[in-house]
Amino acid sequence: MIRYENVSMTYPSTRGRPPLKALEPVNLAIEKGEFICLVGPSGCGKTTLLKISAALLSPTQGNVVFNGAPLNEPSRSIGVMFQKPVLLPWRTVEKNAYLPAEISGTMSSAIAERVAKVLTMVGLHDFATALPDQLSGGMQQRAAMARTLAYEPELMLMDEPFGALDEFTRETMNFELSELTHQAGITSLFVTHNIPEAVFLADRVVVMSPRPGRVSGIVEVPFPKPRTVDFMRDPGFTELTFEVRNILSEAESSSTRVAEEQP
Amino acid sequence: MSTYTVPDQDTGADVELDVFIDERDPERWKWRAISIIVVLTFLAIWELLPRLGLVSTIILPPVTDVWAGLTELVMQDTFPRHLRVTLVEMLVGFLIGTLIGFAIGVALGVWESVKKSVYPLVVAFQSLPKIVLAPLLITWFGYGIESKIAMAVVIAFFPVLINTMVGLETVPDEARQLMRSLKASRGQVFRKLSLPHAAPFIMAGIKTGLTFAVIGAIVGEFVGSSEGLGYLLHAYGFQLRIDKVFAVIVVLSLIGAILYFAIDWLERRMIYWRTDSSLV
Repeated sequence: MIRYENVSMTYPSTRGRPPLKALEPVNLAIEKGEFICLVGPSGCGKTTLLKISAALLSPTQGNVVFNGAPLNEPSRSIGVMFQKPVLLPWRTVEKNAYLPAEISGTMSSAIAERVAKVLTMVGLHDFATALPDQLSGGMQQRAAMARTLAYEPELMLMDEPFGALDEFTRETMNFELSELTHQAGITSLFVTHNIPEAVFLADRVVVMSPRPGRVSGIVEVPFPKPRTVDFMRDPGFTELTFEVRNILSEAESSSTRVAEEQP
Repeated sequence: MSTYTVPDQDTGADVELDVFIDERDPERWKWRAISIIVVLTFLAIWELLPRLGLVSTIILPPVTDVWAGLTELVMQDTFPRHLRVTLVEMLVGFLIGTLIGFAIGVALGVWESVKKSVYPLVVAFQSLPKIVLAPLLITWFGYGIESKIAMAVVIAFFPVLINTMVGLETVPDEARQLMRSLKASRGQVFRKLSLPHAAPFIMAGIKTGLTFAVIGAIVGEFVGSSEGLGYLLHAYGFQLRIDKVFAVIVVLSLIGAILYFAIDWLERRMIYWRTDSSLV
């Protein structure tokens, strides 16, 4: 579905500051229908990699291949969810969900029906005509999810979408997301720094090292989907979170060593 | 509905409660009454000071004399003409000023190159006290209505310009990225994101511009004119008809207040969402 070939990123120097190397060459292939979680410490280039996947940034080197073709500009088959809900406050929930279709000029009654269906799926059926600022933070992020799901992307990119939510809401949102993406067969790339969240959602957890980011390990999560709270009680769940944690701390200590070796 | 944070009775931890309550101040009638009393007291002092001979009636005519002057003024045959002239100057000046301010504001807010090349000139113009242009505008446009319109335009366009520019520039990055990820064209970004985002800013600029247009028209009339409320004010001042001067001031404040409330009403109709929201 999407393949990264030696993708690296160096931000050019600004205002006398030296250029910032954000990503070491990354190689990764994501299969159709897979749910990939990207974990790593803050500033490890997770968001950079996600933006490159959305073609909002172009890598300094390497290629991203999406559906067999190089990805040079944003694609309508790729949906993005940001850290903030990014809803337009003057549009109702429903009209926010119409936005992608309006922009691509494909707005139709079929889209309106699909939006209504998706809003029901995310539990916002009764809030279709509410303005975003009348909703709680969790509901706003649900509305953003509905907007992304309504245009049926093949690949969904999510940058810590539930990071600002409280623990309970976050957990509920994770259950729902797991179920929705599984049902719709959407390929997902989900950035987080919450390890249990990553293990719960992912088919594979991709662990990144501190800056400059590179893939320091991949942990497979061989548990059936959709997953429920039972999975979190499974000893295998705990084991996998420890495995991810170990890779993270190894990557961290080796990068500190590298830093100390530098003159 | 509003959210209140209250301590939990058992644990003391903060709990958020969504409650429906009447959020209007329960003491609002009390404060309304007090504010009316303040106004009445003010008017009473105004009436009494000249009546008791503490202030000359030439300097401060009693309120009742001003009221008599006001009724006399509005009954005059020439009053509708003066009123019309000033209203036309204000409103036409305001409209042209708003359009110019909006157009330049959009150009500055949308194209970085335009901003870099034109903005210094705009700032230089703004630092000029524009009243000094009044004699010049009268030389250019004559004694009639045109020079007053020009004066209103010159001082009304700037707040619209600045607010339009700032409104367009403060579109949050995340929202721009969303639009890019949806492959929106520049025109779509402008119509569906930038312009609605800037609307509250623009409306605030228009409100200020309206107040400024009123000032511009009156100042223009002061400097040189043969009709209009500013002209009347000036003329009555020379004749020491201070009651009439106050009467014209009352009329002008009424015009200002009516225009302001009209635009305020329009603003509340147009900007129906909360603008302090952190959604985008």
